[in-house]
Amino acid sequence: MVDDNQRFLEVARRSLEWQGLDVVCTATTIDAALGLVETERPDVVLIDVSLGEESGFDLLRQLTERYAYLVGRIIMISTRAEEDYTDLMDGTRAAGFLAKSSLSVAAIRVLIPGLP
Amino acid sequence: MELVAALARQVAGLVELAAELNASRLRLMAELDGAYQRIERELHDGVQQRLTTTGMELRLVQAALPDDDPARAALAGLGEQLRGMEAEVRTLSRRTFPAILSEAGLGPALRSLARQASLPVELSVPPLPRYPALVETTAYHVVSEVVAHAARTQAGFVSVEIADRDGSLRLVVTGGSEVGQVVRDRVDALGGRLETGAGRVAAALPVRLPTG
Repeated sequence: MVDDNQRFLEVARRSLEWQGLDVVCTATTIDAALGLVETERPDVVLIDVSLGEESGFDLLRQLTERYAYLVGRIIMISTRAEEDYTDLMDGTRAAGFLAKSSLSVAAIRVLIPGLP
Repeated sequence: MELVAALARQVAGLVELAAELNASRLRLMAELDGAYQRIERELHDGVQQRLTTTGMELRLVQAALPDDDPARAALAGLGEQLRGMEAEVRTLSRRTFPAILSEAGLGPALRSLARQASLPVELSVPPLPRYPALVETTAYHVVSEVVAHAARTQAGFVSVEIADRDGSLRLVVTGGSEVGQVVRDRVDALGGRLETGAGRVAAALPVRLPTG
């Protein structure tokens, strides 16, 4: 899970883990996320659209270029609404978008069917 | 001869003054846009983010309670209120500044505007490069004012046509012919042209900012 807001990372981790999902690692920057994906090989990556000065879409592009298995396994998240980003989601190789207020394991499974 | 020379000096002084005033207008516009953008950013990073995480924490507390605990219903009610607040802040921050305009440029911002308008907005927009921020915000304002006016007057629909030709960004917006004075001032400060009438607004904006 990649987000520049530490408190969100903590609360979302507790929430997703309570729902039975294992949050293997969290990162707040593109560099840290790239390093962790290389070592941890997560099944799913959640990326906040705006990572401070960095763009979550940049990280999405880099990850799907480097790791073929992550195509369709990345979900973009934001506190902004989905309709603000529909356009930017078009043509990406993400599984989809979730507003942070709708983030749940059930919602992740809808976007990425066939997860263990 | 002396009179002519004095007049020439005066005219040159006035030309210089006009250029200075225009540069000052551009600085004020940039400052205003920047302020709105910062407020949107702060709303998003601050209160919006906190409302979202507080809602998640509330659901965690709720989930830890026994099924028959009466506090569950009360917490669910609070959760509803939080969601309402979140939606309000989201609307407020979107009205303050369209974040997608600075993040992704004019095309995506106009498509987002069209999707959220209360009346159909038909866009004919080619892939556009990024322009100076003032050009993008001004073009966006031209379109959003016509759309807002059309929505108020219950016009049927708005269509927007954009072309980037000969160093100039051309917009033709049909479905309304009213834009406010401030938008006219913006176009003028950029050295652009704006014509209204017969149910349409046409604008041409230079894609480079006037220098000097």
